[in-house]
Amino acid sequence: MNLIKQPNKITPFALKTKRNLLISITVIILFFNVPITLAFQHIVPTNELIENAKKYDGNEVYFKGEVIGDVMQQGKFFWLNLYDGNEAMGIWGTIDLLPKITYIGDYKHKGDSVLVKGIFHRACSEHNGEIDIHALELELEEKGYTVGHPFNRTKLFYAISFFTLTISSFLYYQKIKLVKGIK
Amino acid sequence: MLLKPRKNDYQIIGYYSGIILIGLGFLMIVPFITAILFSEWNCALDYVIGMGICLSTGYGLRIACYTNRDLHWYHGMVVAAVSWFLATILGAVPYWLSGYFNSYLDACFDMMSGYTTTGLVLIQDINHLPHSLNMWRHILTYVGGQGIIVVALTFLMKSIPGAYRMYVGEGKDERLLPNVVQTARAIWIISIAYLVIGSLVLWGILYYIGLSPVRSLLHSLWLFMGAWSTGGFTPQSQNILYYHSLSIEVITCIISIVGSLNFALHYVVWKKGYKEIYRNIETFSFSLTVVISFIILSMGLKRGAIFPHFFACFRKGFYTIISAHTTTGNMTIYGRQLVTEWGPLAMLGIILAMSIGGSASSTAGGFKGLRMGIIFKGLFEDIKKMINPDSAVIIEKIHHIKDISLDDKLVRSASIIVMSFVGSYALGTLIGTFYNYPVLSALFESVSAGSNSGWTCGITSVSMPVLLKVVYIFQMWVGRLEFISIFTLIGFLYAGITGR
Repeated sequence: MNLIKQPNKITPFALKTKRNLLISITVIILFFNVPITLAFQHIVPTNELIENAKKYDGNEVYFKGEVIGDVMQQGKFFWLNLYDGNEAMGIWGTIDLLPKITYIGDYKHKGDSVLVKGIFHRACSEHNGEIDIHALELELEEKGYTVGHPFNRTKLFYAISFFTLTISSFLYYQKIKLVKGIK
Repeated sequence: MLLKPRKNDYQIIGYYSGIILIGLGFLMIVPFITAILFSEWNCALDYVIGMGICLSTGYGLRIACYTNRDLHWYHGMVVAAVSWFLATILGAVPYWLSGYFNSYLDACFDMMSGYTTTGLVLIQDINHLPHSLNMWRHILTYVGGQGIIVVALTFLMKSIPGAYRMYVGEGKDERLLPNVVQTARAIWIISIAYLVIGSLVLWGILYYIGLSPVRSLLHSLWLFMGAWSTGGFTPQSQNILYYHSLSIEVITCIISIVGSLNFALHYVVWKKGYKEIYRNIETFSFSLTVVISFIILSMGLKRGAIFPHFFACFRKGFYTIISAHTTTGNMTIYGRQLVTEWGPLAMLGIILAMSIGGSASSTAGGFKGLRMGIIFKGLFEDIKKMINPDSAVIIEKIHHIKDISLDDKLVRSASIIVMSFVGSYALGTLIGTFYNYPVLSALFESVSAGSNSGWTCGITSVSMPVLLKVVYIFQMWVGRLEFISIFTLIGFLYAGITGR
């Protein structure tokens, strides 16, 4: 039995595997155009920004959320609001930064998910005290989709039942009015 | 000795409460049509079910409780209290069916908040609501601001002597016209006229800032309804902050102020001109207390050194004070910023503004400027009596539409209502503190609920304790009806149990 611990040896096989792995990752990054500068940054949620606004004020932050409501284009600039599940945050920037947004979040749609790198302001001097993020880069992370609302037959049954009950009550009430001479 | 209510009393209450529920049922036609227009089929079924429940209950009460007797004062008060309660319970059905509420209690909370034009919400995922649900939310505040009994008087009732007693039970006592049904219709004409003008202006601005034509139309209606009724509901979670627009803030500010004015004042200005605005004690009281609360708020903001320049501070601060003082609740900041950034002094300024509120017989809540004016005039009168010889005759007058001599009865009734509001604020603060919320935050949220303002510093949420939700519902209810009808209901129920 060999009681002396042998130093770890890197075998040729292990070296080859490591090299292949590195090449694969590089190919994936180049092929799928994964933005390594944005993708691996710490994304700050809205409640963190609001609770610690002073700490983040004037600093570069990474924020991600679903596009909701409207993309408000105002000349060379835009406002959009990104919702991250906690609260929504206003993002302001120049039109050239805006990615192609296909879906905007509403009742029938889950909006596109956008990642933004920008400067956070707890009371923006340019926008007269608004809490906002001035975008430096915007990246479409995930495309949205149409949300289905399958027709609910149980509700239809109850709707028909209550409608029938209402008509019956109304007709009976009219009859009572006639009988009792109520005007 | 209390007299036990008789069968006739219950019949009268049931009969007239029935008509309120019928009115509520017919109101659901508006969101139903909205659902059809936007192909929200499941939502359309929600309103059919809601209509069915309200209408069949209303007609059922009319059938079971038929009476040809008129209402006494206490009947009118009890009908007002009971019908608001029933309208909350039954009107919550479409909310509950929508799937956007965690519990039926949460749905009732939002219903009461809408009717009472408070604006506190427990609805989930507000940014993905169907248009029909937003229409229901906002039309509730619009109707609630006028009063659901006013709606019934306008559209469903003939003029009977007891109608005025129900009207008063809803916290109004201004008679614009000799007949209360004509008064109710005049209130509606004023409201609809402003709706048309205000919505058109908002529609134009919203389209200009980048909303689509259809969304800008819908948002213009909803923003107007929320601001005019001083309810503060908006279709997006960020409230007015969503629009990032100074123009929207200015217009909603103006609409809130106009909505918080006494309907009698609107009528007089319409018929006789603008002089009444300058002479009226309510407008004077409102202006004075806006200035005082804004000074307190500004001192707090200056201390926090949050804003980069004066205009930013003025924009956010003044809008906040107007929103709080008119008890609208529209916000251009996140609620948590009040605690984390604005600080206790600014919060106290907002609390003062909310607690006083708007004008009597308006869509606003709070003590009302008229009562503040009466109480302070009463105090001045007492001071004058003390410093003048005993033989001096001191008569104080106030001008509210007409000159009114101040008497002890007037001062006493104003004081009783103000004390009741203070009691309501204290109750909510106590319960909030019991659940370990900081005292100032508990006070802030309690005053917001009790004065029907709708500002939140973060306490109102789905995870709030159940008892606190119930207490806030109660505070919103009593605040909107200004206590007397609730006290009458309690007395009626007590007499029902212990009376002879």
